[in-house]
Amino acid sequence: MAADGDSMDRIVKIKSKDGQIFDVTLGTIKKSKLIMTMLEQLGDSTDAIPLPNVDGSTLKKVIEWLEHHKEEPEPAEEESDPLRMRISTDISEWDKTFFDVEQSVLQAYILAANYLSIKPLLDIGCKTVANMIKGKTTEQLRDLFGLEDDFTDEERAAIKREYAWADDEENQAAA
Amino acid sequence: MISRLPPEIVIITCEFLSFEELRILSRTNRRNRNIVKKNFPLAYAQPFEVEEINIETKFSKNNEYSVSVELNYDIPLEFQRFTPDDFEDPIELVGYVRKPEDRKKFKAHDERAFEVLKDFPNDYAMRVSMRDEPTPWDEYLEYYEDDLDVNEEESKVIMKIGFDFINMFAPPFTIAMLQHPNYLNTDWNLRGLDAEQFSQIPLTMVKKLSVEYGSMSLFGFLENFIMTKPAIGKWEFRKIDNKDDVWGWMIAKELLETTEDITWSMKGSGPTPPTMPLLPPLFKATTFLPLCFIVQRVFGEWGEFKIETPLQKWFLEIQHNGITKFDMHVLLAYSPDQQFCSRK
Repeated sequence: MAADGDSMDRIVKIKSKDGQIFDVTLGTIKKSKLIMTMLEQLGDSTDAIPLPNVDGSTLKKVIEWLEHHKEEPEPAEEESDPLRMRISTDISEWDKTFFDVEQSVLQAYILAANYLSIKPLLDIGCKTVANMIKGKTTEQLRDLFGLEDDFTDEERAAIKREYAWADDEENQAAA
Repeated sequence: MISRLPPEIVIITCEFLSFEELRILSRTNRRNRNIVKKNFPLAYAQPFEVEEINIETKFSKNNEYSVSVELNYDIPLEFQRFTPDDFEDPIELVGYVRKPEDRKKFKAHDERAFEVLKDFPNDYAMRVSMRDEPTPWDEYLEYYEDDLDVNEEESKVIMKIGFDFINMFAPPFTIAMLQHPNYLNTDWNLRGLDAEQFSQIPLTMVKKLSVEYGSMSLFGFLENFIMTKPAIGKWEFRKIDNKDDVWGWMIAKELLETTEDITWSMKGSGPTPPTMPLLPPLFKATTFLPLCFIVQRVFGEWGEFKIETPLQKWFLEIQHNGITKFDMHVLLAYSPDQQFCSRK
């Protein structure tokens, strides 16, 4: 399917798992590789594209995010920087506000981004989780994410051996 | 929440975490430990200190580099050599491994150094050993691949955070490296910059740089130099070819004279320079020898410029050997009283 010029104004119908139908322009939804692939397969059909893994409230927010970022260029498939790196966890203020939600909602956004194959949204969601992890001790992370310490005594001993060179400070340093 | 995210999404999240953060996460529960251990085995490696890295081009063989990594110079050393034969650009690596009792002592430095080694530029793929005892590289790789299920591609490492000192033949991506924020405080020792790379040096934020051998267009270098605000600690360029021959000197002087908003002065071993008209290249062939004489008259054997722009003030000394070769020293004048480095 051509994806330039006037075709960006074309209205695409998408349907959430709870039956809500959203009209979005192709220019807005183009960052979703899943939907672009489905549109190619559907041809000229005007039927709503079913998205059985995304509920209406999440889909509405995803569309809001896409609408806000629709003018931004597609990220390059391959980094051209020979010193490529993925250590920046900077997030724009708008995105920080967008992702300032309950963990369950954040999880829904990330899963939706993954399902819809919207890489920039997925990356920002993962950065948000990474930023939640940074600076916390193991115990604080368990509390934050409701994780159960399911290690056996043998595994704990093995961990202690593995970290003999770092064990003293690592958790305290992060506290 | 993280426990309900599929592993592939946790892995993306982990890519934004440091090794230390990964280790902390991996201690929360069995699932996170398995994810980190399987996908980020280097996070489990004992870090070691890198004092220095030297990357030498092997001129005898195309596309081959010798990389020596000095991990710690003040303790007894064991050293290991490894030449992988399956890389497109094979390298030889010489590494020194720290004694176990010293690892704790240098932990903070080691952590930082190890971050460097895990992300080395693709062109210079290398592997590192983190075991307590010196181990032949082939045994080390067996350990890595069998126990940690890491394939060869994943065990390539790519430079990520700067060294204190880097000594290397200038690669094609030299300027990108010099501009990289992780290398701002690195002490660079490069060889073989070309004129295009030299002209872009002032546009980088590199502070400590020495270059031996290479080719420079004085005009190209000075043009960018006086337009920008380079954060110079000390730049030293030695045995540099003057790409523009005699015209480089004349045009550089003309550039300084005609640039607005700068003041400059020059003193040298020769007489005070007369006002020189900018001669067109047409005259180059027929006037080369007389101009050689003029350059000698104008600049003597050395010239010391003091260049002041609204942004900064520098001392720039050129010691030349004839027309085609010169050394250049550049120093930022932090205060009006500061003197330029002494000439030998």
